[in-house]
Amino acid sequence: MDRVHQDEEQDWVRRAAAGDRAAFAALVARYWRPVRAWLYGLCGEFHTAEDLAQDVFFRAWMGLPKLASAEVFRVWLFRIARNEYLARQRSPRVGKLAELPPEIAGPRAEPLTGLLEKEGATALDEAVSRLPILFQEAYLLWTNADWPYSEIARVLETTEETARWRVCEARRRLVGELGPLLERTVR
Amino acid sequence: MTCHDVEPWLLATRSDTDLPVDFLQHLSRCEACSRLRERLAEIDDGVRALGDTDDRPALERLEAVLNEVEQPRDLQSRLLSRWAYRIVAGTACIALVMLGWGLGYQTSKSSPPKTEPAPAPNELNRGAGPDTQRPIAPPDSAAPAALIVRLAAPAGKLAQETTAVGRVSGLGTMADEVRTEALREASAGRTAELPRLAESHDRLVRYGLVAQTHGMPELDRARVVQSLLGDLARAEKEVAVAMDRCPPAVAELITPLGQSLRDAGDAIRTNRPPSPLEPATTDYPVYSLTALAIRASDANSPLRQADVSADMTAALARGTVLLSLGGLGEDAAKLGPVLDNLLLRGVADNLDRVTAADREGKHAVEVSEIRSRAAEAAGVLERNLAKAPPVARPGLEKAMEASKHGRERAAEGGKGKSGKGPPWKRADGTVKESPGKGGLPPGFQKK
Repeated sequence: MDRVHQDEEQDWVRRAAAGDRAAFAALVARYWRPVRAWLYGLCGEFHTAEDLAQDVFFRAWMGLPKLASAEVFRVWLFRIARNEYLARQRSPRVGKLAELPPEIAGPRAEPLTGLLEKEGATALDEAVSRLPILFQEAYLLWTNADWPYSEIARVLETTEETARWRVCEARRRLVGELGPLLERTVR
Repeated sequence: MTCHDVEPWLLATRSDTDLPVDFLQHLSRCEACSRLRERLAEIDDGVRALGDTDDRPALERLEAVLNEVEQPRDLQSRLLSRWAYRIVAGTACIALVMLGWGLGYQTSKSSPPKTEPAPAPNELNRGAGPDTQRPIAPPDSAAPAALIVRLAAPAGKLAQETTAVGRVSGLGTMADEVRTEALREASAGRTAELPRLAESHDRLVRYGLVAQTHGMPELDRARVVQSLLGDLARAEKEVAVAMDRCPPAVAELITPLGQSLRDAGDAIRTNRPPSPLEPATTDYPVYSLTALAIRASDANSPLRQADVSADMTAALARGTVLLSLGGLGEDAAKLGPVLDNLLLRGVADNLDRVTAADREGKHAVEVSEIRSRAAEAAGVLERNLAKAPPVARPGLEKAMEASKHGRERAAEGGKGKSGKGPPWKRADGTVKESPGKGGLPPGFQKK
């Protein structure tokens, strides 16, 4: 993030901490997508990710007066997101939703290209979900939030080196797994 | 420049990053690397697109909720008062530690030399950082680690602690964690664990704290008791507030927490000895760890500390496996360093001290037995890793990595040094001389 955006964001954070809803709305607009996309990558369900993202911003709004420094806002926000996700994973009620049976899942007649795209997206989704959770969270943060390793490390409470290694490993595994499919779609 | 040099760069950098000239030159002539870069870019783009959906309804719902909720305005002042409290408490702790050190120094000058060596120094707090290492997320949004993980470090510390003041502090920390967990469960309406948490809390407070303060030198006692009674009273108030907020049926389940605190306060105030401890009746991991922590706080020699450290290693190794299998790999990984410390400092160092002081070999059998138990406990991780499902492996592997030194040291001790065996055996395995009848070691005689 460049200096101008950074200053602007810190101003929003300070105003939001003082109770300014418009400033917080600007923060939500900036971070909703990366937070929701990251959570989606981790839990693999749109609705759960949306629910979790809502909880994250709600908690952020309630916790902002306690935030010590506006500079750490985004790391703090993603830590809340991570904590929410982990808390949900620990919940005994958590469980994957069953897939809809084919007859309810919707019409199948689609153009060939659409099917190929869908196949690719599903394979990618599955490959990401098969990554170990430590690799998953680092890689998805790297991809969706577009952050440097140092900040990823702060969110994941690890070292920069470890964060880099996890991202590299995740990418290595994904290329290994999806390589044949990508070759096929190119041909 | 080879593909081997380029690949790590490609994996670690974003696809639109400008690469150094020599890398670009390599890419222009190497089809494999150039294809790898394209594939990585495609995958990254695909992953970014995965989460795309129409967010407006969710955002509108969030906006509606936020418009109705006011931020808690009094938090800043509460935070300030909490910091003021921490500073005062921190200063008091430093003063107590200094006093304990001073007293220890004085008494060590005057007392006769001890026959038993001093236990290993406490190493668990070495890595504890300043407040900058606290989580940045606010406490109410922080998902706490599993209770057994939060209890592991203070329990391990107790297995190496040599002062009553330190033990009081360790037991107090554990009691705080257990009580906080119980109150959190109660406020969420989850009641299944409450009776066992209340029982664990009771043991820590009514037996552990009372026993430690009862046996304390008078000067230490006078200073520790005052602050401890204040802590107990504050905790009792917390429980009372939580009970007010809970439905009566749940409040009834946390009533024993307040009762334990009250009873412990009375006993400490009047310097009554604790009532005898009943044996643990369940395999509930937190309960076992609590019982071991209390045993550790009663261990007054390196041999006893090594003994309880070995048992604690077994309990925590089991806990690590269970957490991994339950999908809590991160929590399992956090137990790795505690295991390492227990095996190195709690078991190995203490046993080395016993062996060094035990010239006549009186404790040799016990030492060997403790070493074997510790090695066996540490081996639990390896044996379970072999059969663990993929989801459980990362946590276990990380815990194993973190506890590598301790496990190696424990295993070395368990097997004995290479080239040496029982004293009655030759290096080539033939029987030389035996302490038993008929030239054979005890248990080998023909009947």
